[in-house]
Amino acid sequence: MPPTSRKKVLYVQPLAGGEVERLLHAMQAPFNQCAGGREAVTIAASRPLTCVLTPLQLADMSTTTLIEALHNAAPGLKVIVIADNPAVSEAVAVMQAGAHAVVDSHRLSTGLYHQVAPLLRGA
Amino acid sequence: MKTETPIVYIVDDDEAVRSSLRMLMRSVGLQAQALGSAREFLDAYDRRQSGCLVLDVRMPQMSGLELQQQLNQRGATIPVIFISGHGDVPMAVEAMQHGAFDFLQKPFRDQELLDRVQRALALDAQSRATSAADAQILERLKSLTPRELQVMRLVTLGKANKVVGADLGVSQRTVEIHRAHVMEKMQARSLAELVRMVLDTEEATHKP
Repeated sequence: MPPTSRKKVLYVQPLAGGEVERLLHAMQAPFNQCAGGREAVTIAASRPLTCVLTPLQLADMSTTTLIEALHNAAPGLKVIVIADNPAVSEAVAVMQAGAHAVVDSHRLSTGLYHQVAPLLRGA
Repeated sequence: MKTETPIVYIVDDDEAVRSSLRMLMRSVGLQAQALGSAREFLDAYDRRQSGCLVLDVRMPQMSGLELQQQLNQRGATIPVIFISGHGDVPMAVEAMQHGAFDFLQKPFRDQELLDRVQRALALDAQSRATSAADAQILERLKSLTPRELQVMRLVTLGKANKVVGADLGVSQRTVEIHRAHVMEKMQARSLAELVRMVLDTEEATHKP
């Protein structure tokens, strides 16, 4: 299958951009970026995605609202939350809201590889 | 041994933690059983017993996460609340990905755990009630004859008796009789209720 027809990872800025991009490139994961939660929901409703990577803090909506909106737009869509040194309670709350995983930005390479690679294999 | 009262199972290798948690549960009128290892729990647990499991993550021999996997493999749906003094985010995420009800870091306030236990017990009661209702409907479905099943499938698709008759090569009157039997055997008071029953059982039989 040519890379252009593969489902993409949607990556919501403002994540620590450069590093996420490098890691997605290294995983040969096709990806798109978007500016915030609302745009992510619009994109998720219009095309199939492998997963969505989002920061824990968004300017235009809360993470739990985003997860709910993404699941309404694309049921079953995996949402991976990237957080800067999150507390266990924060991670658990996001998981209970329906996130697929929470990745600590200080362990981005192992965390992303561990969580995104299996989804890419299934995409 | 199965009892009607839900049991809060506490599995922790630390005797002091086990005793204090058992006392905490009993202080609010909950029935609690404390066990010192995952193996002891597996030997004692009857999946027909309602309740929830308060489970330490780190234990010798079989860890809490390994016990959770064993329970998943056995199809046990008991809600699991992990407690951990050394929990980190990857560990909590793994537990939640495998269906944990919650993950609590020690030290925690008594009320924090009690709130979670009450919610877990409510969830367990609700899912058991749903399973029992689904099982009842499946039993009723088994009582239908093959012809009644055919009629039920077609009428729940919204087809009129006349159309069902044409599809099955029988008279409209025959369809009406089968339909009346279906409604009676399924204990459905309306077509809408029958449709809901069919959808519920389809959903239940497609659960992983």
